[in-house]
Amino acid sequence: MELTILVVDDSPTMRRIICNTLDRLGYKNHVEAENGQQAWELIQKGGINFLLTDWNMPEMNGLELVTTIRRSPAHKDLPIIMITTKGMTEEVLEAVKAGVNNYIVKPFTPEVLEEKIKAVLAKMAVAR
Amino acid sequence: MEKNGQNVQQQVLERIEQLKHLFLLGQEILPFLEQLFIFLKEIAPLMSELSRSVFEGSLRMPEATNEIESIHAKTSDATFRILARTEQLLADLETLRMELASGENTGQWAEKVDRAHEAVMDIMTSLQFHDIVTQKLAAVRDVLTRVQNQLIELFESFHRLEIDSNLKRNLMAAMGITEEELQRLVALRNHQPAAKPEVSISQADIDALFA
Ligand SMILES: [Mg+2]
Repeated sequence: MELTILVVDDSPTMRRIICNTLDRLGYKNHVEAENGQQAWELIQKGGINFLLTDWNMPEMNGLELVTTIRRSPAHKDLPIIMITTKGMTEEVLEAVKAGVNNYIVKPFTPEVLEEKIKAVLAKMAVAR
Repeated sequence: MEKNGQNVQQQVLERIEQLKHLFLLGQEILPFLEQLFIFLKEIAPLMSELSRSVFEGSLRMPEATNEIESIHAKTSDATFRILARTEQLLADLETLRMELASGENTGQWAEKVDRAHEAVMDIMTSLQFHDIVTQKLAAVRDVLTRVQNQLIELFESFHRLEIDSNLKRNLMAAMGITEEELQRLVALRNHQPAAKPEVSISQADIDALFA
């Protein structure tokens, strides 16, 4: 199945960096949203099967987005990686509790992003 | 003898006059002393609050200073990295251009193009410092806000003192703050959320959580 990745970050610079990195890694299908609210609307429309989300965002933040997705019967299994500057123990644990599949602290390298996406996809394949 | 008696009378009169002046002065000064007494009684707990505010403010300032230092470090690192990569990229492109122009193939074209690609990716990765610096600046803003809020609280308690409003106004003026400014500060404070200090975790520890 072709991967369509939703990239959610309120910083246009970060969205560009993440999308360019995804291109470079060979993940050519991606869409963007600038906050959790926009992302949730896109997810509900369907067609998204992987999520990369920031935490600190206006409107709806990344954590609220993860919680919303995990509570939704239709989308609760969407693979989610959180990419954020929040690198505090408490915060990571909070994200894990909310249901993220992996967590990357900014600044990240293309190698780290690739490794995490592959790890999450491998776990999903095993679960199926 | 008579002259001496006149002298004494004169002295007594002068004395009475002086006492009258003193009495008038006392009439004026007494309410002020009363106010001053109330003021001192009320200001004592405020002084300890002031030292607490200054103390806590001083405790928090290093947080902000550390964040600013880290912003400086992150910005310098990223700039240095980007510059180094750009210089290398320029040098590689120049060699390539000369080789292409002379028709001489050293067999390193593909290698140079790969290196250029890598350099550009690295430059892009380094640009993430923009978002990180934004977050760090937000942390500095939080610290400054907390310190400011404590000072506002202090001004507010001062404002609640039961001393004569003229005296209070003068003292406020002496501190360089007007009633309107105080109200503006209070309104500002009521629009700010508070933040809390936390402990950092490494990407390796994070990875262990998902292993
Ligand atoms: Mg953000």
